[in-house]
Amino acid sequence: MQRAAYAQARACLDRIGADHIALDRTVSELTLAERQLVEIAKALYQKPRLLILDEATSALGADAVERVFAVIRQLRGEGCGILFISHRFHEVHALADVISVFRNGAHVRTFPAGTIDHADMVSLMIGQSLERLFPPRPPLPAYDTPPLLSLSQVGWENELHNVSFDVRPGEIFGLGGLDGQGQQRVLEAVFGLLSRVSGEVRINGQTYSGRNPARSKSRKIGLAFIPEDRKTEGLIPGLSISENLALAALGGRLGPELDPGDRARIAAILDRLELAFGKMEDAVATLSGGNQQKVLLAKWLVLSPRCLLLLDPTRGIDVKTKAQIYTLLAQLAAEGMAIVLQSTDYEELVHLCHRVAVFYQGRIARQLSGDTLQPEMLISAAMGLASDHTAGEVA
Amino acid sequence: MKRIDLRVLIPAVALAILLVVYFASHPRGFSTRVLTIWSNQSVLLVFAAFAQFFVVMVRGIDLSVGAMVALSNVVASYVLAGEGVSLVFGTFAVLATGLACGLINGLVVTLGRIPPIIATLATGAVFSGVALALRPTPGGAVNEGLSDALSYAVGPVPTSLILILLAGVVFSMIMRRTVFGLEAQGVGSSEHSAALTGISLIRVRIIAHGLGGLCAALCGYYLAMVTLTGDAGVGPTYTLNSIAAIVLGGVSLAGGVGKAWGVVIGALLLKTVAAVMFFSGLPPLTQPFFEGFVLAAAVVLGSLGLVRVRNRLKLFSQ
Repeated sequence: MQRAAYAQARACLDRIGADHIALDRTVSELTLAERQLVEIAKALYQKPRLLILDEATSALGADAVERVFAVIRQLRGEGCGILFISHRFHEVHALADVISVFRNGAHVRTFPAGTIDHADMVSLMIGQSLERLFPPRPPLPAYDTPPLLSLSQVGWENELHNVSFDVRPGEIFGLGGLDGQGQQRVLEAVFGLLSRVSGEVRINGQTYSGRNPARSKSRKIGLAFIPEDRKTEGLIPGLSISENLALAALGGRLGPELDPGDRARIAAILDRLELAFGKMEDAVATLSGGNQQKVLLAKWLVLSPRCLLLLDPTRGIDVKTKAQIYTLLAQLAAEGMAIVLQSTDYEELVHLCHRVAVFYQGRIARQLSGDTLQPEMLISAAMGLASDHTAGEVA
Repeated sequence: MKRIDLRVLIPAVALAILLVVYFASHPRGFSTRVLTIWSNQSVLLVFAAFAQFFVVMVRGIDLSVGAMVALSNVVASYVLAGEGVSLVFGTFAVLATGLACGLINGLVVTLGRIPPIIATLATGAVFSGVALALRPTPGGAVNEGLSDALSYAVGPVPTSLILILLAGVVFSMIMRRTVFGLEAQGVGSSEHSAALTGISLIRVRIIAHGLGGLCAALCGYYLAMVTLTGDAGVGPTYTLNSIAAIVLGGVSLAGGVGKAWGVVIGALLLKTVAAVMFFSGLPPLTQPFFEGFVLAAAVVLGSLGLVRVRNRLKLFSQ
């Protein structure tokens, strides 16, 4: 009986391409993407008549999504109803037969897939027409600008090997690749969450050793880190908006009262992000995902960091907020901030970043910029197909 | 003002009702004398509850509260017998004893990476052992002038009631107006986020245990004022009652949620229930049953807010 159950579980995981997940690993060891695959496998195991996928692919990279989709299409063929909820257009377009758009808790419209084009669908979703999701790329900093953040030969355990890159002020640097190829670890290593990291990290040309979060956020270093899972790693849900903001801004100061300068900066940042909230005293847990992400951004921007490290900041967030976050990132870069953006959404990397380092098995498989920064190049490099390993190349 | 917290409001109402019942049923009625007896008993539990509170706020638990109370009580019975300046040094010695115990707990829990429940069970046994070695049988002496000053009344107001209010005000300020208070709430409700924000989990935990130890010492100190002796055996009831008191006061054992005034109210409520039973005329053997019943009712009332939770996933998340 038990052996049969294991065999079935194995089969479910293999079917969606999660053959690398051993059955005896605990879920807490898995990455977010692997957990999503386990969730999907769990659902398949029940042989459902109606399968509801609520942002179930939000942390998955392009190839994993494709394998899951293949299984979903097969299920559809077998007569299973699929309800697929996602903020990623191309996924909805690729999968759905009928599309319903919802906005602010109300049904807007239902239509057969293909009858309404991309732009019209976006305007249905946000209730107004959005010229474009992505803002114009900010101007590239002068060629001879010295790098603000520079990594050389960074390695950690078995997950990172010889990672080197430079990010100049004013530049948006993307980290891409399939999930779990080390791109998240790089940012954690820089911010000081990992111990025994080899190699060197330099800020403004000076070696930054003895890294830890408290030192990273100090004015001298000026790093800010937006983690992947805003609910458990980013914000403290029980505290109010203002307390969450204060917590980041306090660095060894005496009272938790923010000084007027901080207050003015917070107001300006929240205004810029168009945060929708009742009172600053409201608990963060009462806000929507998009608004929580805005609070998280605001919390770090209050510190006026010089370099912003982001892990998948738009995962599971509505289009309008996405567009606002993109615009904000472009503005911040134009004001001279160095931005490192890790993302599983390749459109984001292609349209927003100046340069993208594609990771494969803990190494930089390829750096793309300018003409080479195309979706096809990105995906082929992510799959490890690029023949020339130009790791550490400086554009 | 923020919206009123039901977790504090409901026990507060329960306390008010019980207090009326208590003074109405007390054979001597309401007088400064009766109030003093009530608040002298209560202040002990208030301090013990705060000893538990700070640790629970950072998602820990302290099973050594009683042992710390006993040890500081025993120390007090040695150092508070003198006159004048020696009393000042004696007071510092008692507080330092509790602080040291708390800091040891904090170090064992953080640097030793031992789960709090095991760590404090072990350190608690050690503290009890030291207390027993110092004073195998109850005894010792305490300066009677000091004892009178702290256990009688200032005009119509019992000194211990002033201490209770002072504890509420000071600890409430610590939780709401200091960086430590905010950090403790952060660490308790979301450890990951707190660490990523650059808060040192180790430092916050050690401070919380240190403060807890200091509160336990205050309890032991006041116990010496009331009993005029040191007794190494007073510990166990304080540990359990400290946990019961903070839960009654709306503090979540999962950490991060709780108010200092809730702790005061919870402790007073727990003490008052016992006091009401004493004068209730119920057969003594049935009193524990009714006492437990009233406490359970208070906790259930406190969680009535959850009835409004419509999301099944969030039913037990508070």
